[in-house]
Amino acid sequence: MSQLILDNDISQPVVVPPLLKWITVELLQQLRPGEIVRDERVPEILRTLKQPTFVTIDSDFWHRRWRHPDYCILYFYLRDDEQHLIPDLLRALFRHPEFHTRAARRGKVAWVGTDSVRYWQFQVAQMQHLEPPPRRHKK
Amino acid sequence: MKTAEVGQHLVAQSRNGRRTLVFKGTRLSVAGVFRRLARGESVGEIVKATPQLTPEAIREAVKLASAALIDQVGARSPEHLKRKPLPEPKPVGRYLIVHPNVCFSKLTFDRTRLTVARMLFYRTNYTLNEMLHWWPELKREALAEALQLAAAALMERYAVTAETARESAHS
Repeated sequence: MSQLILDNDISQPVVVPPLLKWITVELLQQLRPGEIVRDERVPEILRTLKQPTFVTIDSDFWHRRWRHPDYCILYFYLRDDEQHLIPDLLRALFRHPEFHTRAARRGKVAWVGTDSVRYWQFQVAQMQHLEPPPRRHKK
Repeated sequence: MKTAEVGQHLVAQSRNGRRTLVFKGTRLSVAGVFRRLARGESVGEIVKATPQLTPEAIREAVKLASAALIDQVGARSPEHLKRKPLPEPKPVGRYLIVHPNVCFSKLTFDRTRLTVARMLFYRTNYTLNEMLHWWPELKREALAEALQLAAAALMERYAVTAETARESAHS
């Protein structure tokens, strides 16, 4: 079962091949072929999977009402011509303890930019901000 | 002839009541380039065959056309997130739709979660065959229709600019 579920709108030619080198990926539409997946069906579909992480560039998913303990949503705040950055940003994000494992990610709806990350956590009232990873000092 | 610049790369022209939109510094009509994209030519092929054009100019035309079409049909978009969703599905042409429950009322290809704005942007980066390979739910005819409608919306919006320029010159 795939760890990552990609929204269909993502620029697949630049995002999917690099991701497949290190993680399992499926497209939302592949999970329900032939079905018109309405917005309210997206969380329903995610809940049928084992703690999936849904990757989207649709800003309408960046809202705390989408939080659920069974899945994680990552909204990438990028221009259409910046989508090639998604694989590296995702890898960097998954190095953080808060996003390192499926179990750690579940319940989160995150806004991921090129230099900052903020997220809502299920049953947590305040929005959380992720500290940037510590830079390695060169000697 | 009166002209008005549109964006960085386009010019709206009005001559004897006839309105056209061309690429700046050329006599190439924007509608003609959209027809070539709709027929399946890639941006690379168009630029190779027509050296006066640049990929950036075509990308700008497609972006403006896409925005004009979205505005024309009243769909939501990343630029218009406060726009209210339509109360009921609104078919646009044969293959496009604004559905209140699909992609949050953005203009999409019917029976998919593919937004027209993004697919048209991708069309300026990928060949038609690449598009159909990566997004198998997309139909060739649907993409052609989106380009055709977007070109018409672009004309509708910006060709008026030249007309206004002519009128204001007379007033």
